[in-house]
Amino acid sequence: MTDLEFVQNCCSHEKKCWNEFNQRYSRLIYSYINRIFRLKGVSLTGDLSDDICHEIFVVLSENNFKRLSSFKAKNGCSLATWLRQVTVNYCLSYIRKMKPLISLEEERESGLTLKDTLKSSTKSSPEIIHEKEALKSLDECVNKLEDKDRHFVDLFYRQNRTFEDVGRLFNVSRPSIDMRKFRIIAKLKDCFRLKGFALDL
Amino acid sequence: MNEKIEGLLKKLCVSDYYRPPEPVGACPDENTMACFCEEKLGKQEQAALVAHLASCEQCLEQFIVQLNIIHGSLEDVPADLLLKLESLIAEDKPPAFEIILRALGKTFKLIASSGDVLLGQEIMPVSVLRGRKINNFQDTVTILKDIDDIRVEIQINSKTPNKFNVTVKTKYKDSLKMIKDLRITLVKSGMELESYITGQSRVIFENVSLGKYNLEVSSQDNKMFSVLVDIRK
Repeated sequence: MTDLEFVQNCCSHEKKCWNEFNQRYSRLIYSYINRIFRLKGVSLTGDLSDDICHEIFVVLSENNFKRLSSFKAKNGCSLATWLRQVTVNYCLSYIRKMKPLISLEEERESGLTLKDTLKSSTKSSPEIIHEKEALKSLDECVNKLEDKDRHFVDLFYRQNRTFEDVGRLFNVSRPSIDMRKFRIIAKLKDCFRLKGFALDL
Repeated sequence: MNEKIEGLLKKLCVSDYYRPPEPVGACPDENTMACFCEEKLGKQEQAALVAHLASCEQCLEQFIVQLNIIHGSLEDVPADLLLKLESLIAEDKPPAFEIILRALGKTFKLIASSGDVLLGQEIMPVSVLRGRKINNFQDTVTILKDIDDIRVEIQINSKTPNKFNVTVKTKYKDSLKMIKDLRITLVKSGMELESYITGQSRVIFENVSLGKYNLEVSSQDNKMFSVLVDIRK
């Protein structure tokens, strides 16, 4: 029986089939949950992994198996990989909701906002003005880059992605990423110089 | 040599000036992402997805996390959790329709059915029969019901006061031709009593006693629906 046929049987409310689905995939999903939380450095207190596992199975089975029946075995893709994707999406969304958000503008006990605290206090006003102008000009240079190069800048400098992650995404080797990075930095430096900045960069 | 400009880029990315690039294309569904992880996408679709992932932080995060959790030993699921997961669905889906009869010697009284009754050449809903005060039948009662594109016809025939023959016919609703290769199973209290494959003609379960039964109709590998037959004294 193919994965798709197996899912179709489960979705037709066959109790025997649903129990087999649990036997086959509950350990996998349970293990994925624990690995995701460990990877993201979030501790699973109490029975949280049990609760999340239960919630995922509820999501798969509720509304007449709406979510489980959305598995299409596209291009022969396996049910295990699809379930891994479902588990990742669910857990990341859960972790995002768990993390408390701290507002930059909200005043804290000290009377300062987080934004005030993050501001550098060691720089003089002319230095701050110069840096602001430099950032504005660099932003203009970044915006002149091709879209794919702007994405590259975002991956490395905002998202702080590793070379390994970027290499896996583009399916390329480290030297080829180094080369691309070198080319983008060179473009930015040229643009920056033309704006009258930092020839010593 | 590039340290200064790279430091400035990092500052830029957290400054008010910076606007992250807009994602290219729509976020993929789980089927497409799973295919990508198994390297089963066509070239064009793969290129479009890579462009999207490079520009959508959330989808990229999902992809990176996926890659990092593939390997590792499997952990056991606590027994009580497994029980909870198994109980998420009820025993079985409800029957597509039911036939509830009371046996009165060799005659029947029709108590309830959501199917229609074949009366001579006429097919009548049970409510119409009830309106006409027709609910007693001689030794045979025939109930029909259309389920999707299948017409199911169940005839209950009294052999002796407490023994019955239950005949099942499955036809295509439009052409009324018999459907071959369906499995019809007579189940009582979760136990399979008899099972036959439909051929050119009907399936007959002979000498069925009083009681509550499920007639399960399945294709080669898929349970399609069931019919509750309850013959009471």
